[in-house]
Amino acid sequence: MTEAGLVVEGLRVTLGGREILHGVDFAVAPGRVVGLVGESGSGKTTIARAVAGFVSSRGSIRLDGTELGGDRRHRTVRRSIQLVPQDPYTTLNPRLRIGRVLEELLGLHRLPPGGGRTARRARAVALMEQVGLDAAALQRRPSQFSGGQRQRVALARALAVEPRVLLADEPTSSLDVSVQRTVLDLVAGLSRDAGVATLLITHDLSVVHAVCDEVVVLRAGEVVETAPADRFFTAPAHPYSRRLLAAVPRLEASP
Amino acid sequence: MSALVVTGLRVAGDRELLRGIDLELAAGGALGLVGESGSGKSLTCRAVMGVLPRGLRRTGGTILIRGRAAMVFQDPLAALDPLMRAGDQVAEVVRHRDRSGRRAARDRTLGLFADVALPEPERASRAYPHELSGGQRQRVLIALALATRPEVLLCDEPTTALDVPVQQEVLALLAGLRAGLGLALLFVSHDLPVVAGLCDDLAVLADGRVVESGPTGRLVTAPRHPATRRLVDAVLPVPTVPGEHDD
Amino acid sequence: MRRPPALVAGAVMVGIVVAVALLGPLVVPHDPFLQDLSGGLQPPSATHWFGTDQLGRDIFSRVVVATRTDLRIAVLAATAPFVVGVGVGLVSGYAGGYLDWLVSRVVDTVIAFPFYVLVIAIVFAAGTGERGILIAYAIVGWIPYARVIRARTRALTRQGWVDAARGGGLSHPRVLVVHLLPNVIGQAVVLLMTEILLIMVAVVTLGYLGLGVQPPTPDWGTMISDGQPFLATMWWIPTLPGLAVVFTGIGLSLLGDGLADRWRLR
Repeated sequence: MTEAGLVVEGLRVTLGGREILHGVDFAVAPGRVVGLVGESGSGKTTIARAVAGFVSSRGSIRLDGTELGGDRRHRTVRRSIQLVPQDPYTTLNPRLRIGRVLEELLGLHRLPPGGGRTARRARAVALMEQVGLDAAALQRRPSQFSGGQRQRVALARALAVEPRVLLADEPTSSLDVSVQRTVLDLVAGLSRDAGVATLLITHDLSVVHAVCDEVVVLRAGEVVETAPADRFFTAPAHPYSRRLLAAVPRLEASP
Repeated sequence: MSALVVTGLRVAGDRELLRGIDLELAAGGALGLVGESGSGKSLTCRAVMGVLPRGLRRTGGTILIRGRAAMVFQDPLAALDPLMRAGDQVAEVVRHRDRSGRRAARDRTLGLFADVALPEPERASRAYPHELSGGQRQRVLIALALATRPEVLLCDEPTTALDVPVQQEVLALLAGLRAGLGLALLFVSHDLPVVAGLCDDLAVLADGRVVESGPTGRLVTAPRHPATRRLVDAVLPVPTVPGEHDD
Repeated sequence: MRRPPALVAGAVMVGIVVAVALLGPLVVPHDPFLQDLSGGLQPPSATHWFGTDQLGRDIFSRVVVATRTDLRIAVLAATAPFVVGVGVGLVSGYAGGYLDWLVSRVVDTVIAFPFYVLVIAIVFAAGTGERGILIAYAIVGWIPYARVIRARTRALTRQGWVDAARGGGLSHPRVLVVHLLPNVIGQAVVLLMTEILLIMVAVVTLGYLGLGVQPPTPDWGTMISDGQPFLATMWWIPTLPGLAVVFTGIGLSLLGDGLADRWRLR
């Protein structure tokens, strides 16, 4: 049996003596965007950190059929799963120019293959263009970027190492509404184009509706519903999903 | 009759941040203040309350408030004293405002906790802020505001830090207080659907000015100013589930 | 970038001190060791700019020559603690866990003792003079750096970019040296300036207690303590070496402040 993409089974995480995740199952196929929704404290971020290998976990985390488990010593394993964290203001090293960060990663993984310094520089410029920034951005430090631009840079950094899985943790929750949409489209569009399995973590169902193929609903460390997005929004199965949906403020419902 | 009238409000630090804001909030009405971050909506709210951030000052304009104004903040954990029980914090304000005794203040505090629909007011009043959930903390903060017997409630993104179902409950509470106590609400948020659900009128801020204002329905269906249109266009639609009865 | 005035002033003052330490002994007007018992205790004059001490030695020449001794001891004594303290703090704050617990306990324990009592005890045990001072600082001097750097590293390690660097495949040493170090080193350097100053004062204090630089080598501390009985009648004997300490101290703290300003991220 060949299994493509990210498969998580029976994921359990205990932090500070308290079990946060009680056996979580979900899968993300290459090129698909799966929305992980739930309230704060439900364990969404912990899932991302466990899959990325930043917190230890029990259960199975497989990538294209290979068990990753807790062993993330090898850099090619870590490289294949990239996390875009929530807070744009702590996501970039304040002392380093963006170009330096990208070139360091490209150099470490010898990307593009067989290319030298010039090829790396060209790749860095291409990455900037992919996320809608110009080449001049490479010469800047994080303080010279807005929140939305920082999130784009974080995305470029994640894509630089050509991951197979992208974990985006509330990538737009601290951005202005008008910027949210562009960043979301960027995340979804780039992952689909590159065939990356993407897990989009959010508490905002309108975000899920805008870009996700599937929805995983998390409540208190357990998955209560997994469904294709269109079915989730038309016929949510679990009462909790229905409650979440009903609570979304809608512009049409205004007096 | 107006509960709040703001005319030509100007606030400046190194540069001018509010450049002549005009607002009018009817008694018992609800006015939503929307705009992108940096547009000056929170600053307007703070200027009305008289709590400008350090380094900023009012450089012009008038603010007329009929009665008393109280404010509800975005981050309830930061707005509450972490070392004081929730009930004591509210009782302190009650005693100061009503010049009442310990006993009377305690009773009124429990009454306020009931008004803001805190489950088990007795238990909540003995809890420290960190022992309460986000939604409960926001209710305590609303009770704290109500303790001053205000006519105008200034709400600065009071639901932004809350999860959607809790957000809905707090919004319902504010709508209920408005109807029940005749409170006028000035509601600041970047989230247009949230504001639209609560407020009759909207004022759109951009770059320290009110660029468009009017009835909510008109603004969201036929926005005139580009800033308003951007806000409306940025709203991501969510389909309503068939057969689901909202409220 | 605009240069903070404190940085310029501090750099100029420290530059003067360093120049005096390097070149001074070559150009002093008199032999600092030459005694002239008949010409002792003279007030400042055209021949003896700072006057002479009780043994008739030229105070100006001695102050100049002492600059090299005192600065050398301070810089040497400050270097090892700086390197060790930054290293320990960085690794402890980054690794966390058992190592961090151990380092924190050691730091807390040493901090519980009055610093000078420890230094004096070690100098007493290890032998007086330059060697004792260097050993004493190597043993206890790294503590303040470890404490400051550990706390700062600990706070930064929770930020997304540290995870991102690690997640991008970088090794622990590389994350520490290339990514974390530049973010914490500024604070350590500012502390270094303060420490050099404190060590100079400590050398002076130890000299005063007879545990410091041994005569006849000129040193500001022993000059001040030897001159102290003459303070009321012949003020220049202890005061002018004292002013050298003050000048160096102000220079170092201005430089430290200036560097802190310069490195603060806007």
